[in-house]
Amino acid sequence: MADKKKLLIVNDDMVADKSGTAHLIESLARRGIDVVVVANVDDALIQTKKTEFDLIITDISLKGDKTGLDLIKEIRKTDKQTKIFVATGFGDFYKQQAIEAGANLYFEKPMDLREHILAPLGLAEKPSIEKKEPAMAKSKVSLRRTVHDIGNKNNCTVMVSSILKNDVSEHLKKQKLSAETKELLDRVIEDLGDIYQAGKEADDLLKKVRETVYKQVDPDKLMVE
Amino acid sequence: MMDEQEPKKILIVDDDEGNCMLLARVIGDQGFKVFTALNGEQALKLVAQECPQVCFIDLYMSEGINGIEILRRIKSISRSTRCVVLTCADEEEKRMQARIVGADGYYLKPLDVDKIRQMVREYV
Repeated sequence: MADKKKLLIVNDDMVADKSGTAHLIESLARRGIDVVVVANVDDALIQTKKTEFDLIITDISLKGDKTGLDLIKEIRKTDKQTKIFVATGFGDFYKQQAIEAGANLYFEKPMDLREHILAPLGLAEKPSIEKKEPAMAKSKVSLRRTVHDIGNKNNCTVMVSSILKNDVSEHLKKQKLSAETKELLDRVIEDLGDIYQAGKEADDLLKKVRETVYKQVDPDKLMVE
Repeated sequence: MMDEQEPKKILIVDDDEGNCMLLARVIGDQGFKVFTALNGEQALKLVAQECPQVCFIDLYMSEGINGIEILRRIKSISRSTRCVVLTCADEEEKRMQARIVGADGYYLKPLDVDKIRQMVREYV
């Protein structure tokens, strides 16, 4: 198995968001990427001395008095090879300075998994099935669309039965109704409950179908313009 | 004179018109101003025009730009807009992609009245 890729992210917000970052680290680890996240320039430099990273993504604005630009300048004193990207919320304001300091790429947040992490690390997806087997891909996408449409219609069933059940229940509480009407509405509520339940059960069955169909082809790769 | 505070604006992006209208009805009943978009182009136009505070975005769109890309573009034009992803399939990779491009939340369909109200309480 190929060596794991090493990614250093320098971003104080991500360090603060412990659970979100832990989730991201775990997910990227499954894609073969070891991620270290630090909040400031000094911690980043400690990491770069310990580990040879394949990619460093830094913010401009960081905790402490040093910025992402200081980090790039410091790293570039000894290391001209490692890819360094700057992710910023400041538009193009620091672009010139970042590129002059030695950044390989400067981009506006949010980060894009494929464009800013997977592709630069050589882990971008293999050519889509559409290119290799167009007919097969077409039928799989068509099947997936059908599953998607069935799911949507079923969602409507679940939603509309729950809305109606709610409306009728409210109506029953507020209105003075004859015993006959009350009995009828109680039956309607019961029937709507059955429809709702059937929709939920249909969704459980659809989940199994989706697990198979969605794994075979990711429609997003074929649909993005 | 402003007699009342403006209601919050919510945008629902879903390629299924039925889902869109039903979701809009439940959320609208709670006093919010709701807009609906059936595709990415409509969604981005509405975000630029109306600056909604919250967007609920279906992850899978049958045509055009997919939900992740819609989310990314919404965040790039309006960073303060909270974006909640709605999806039928709980896929780890999609969750991760959504999070990376800035999703604030992730909800599994099918939705019912209780789940929609919970979603609104949490994000609006």
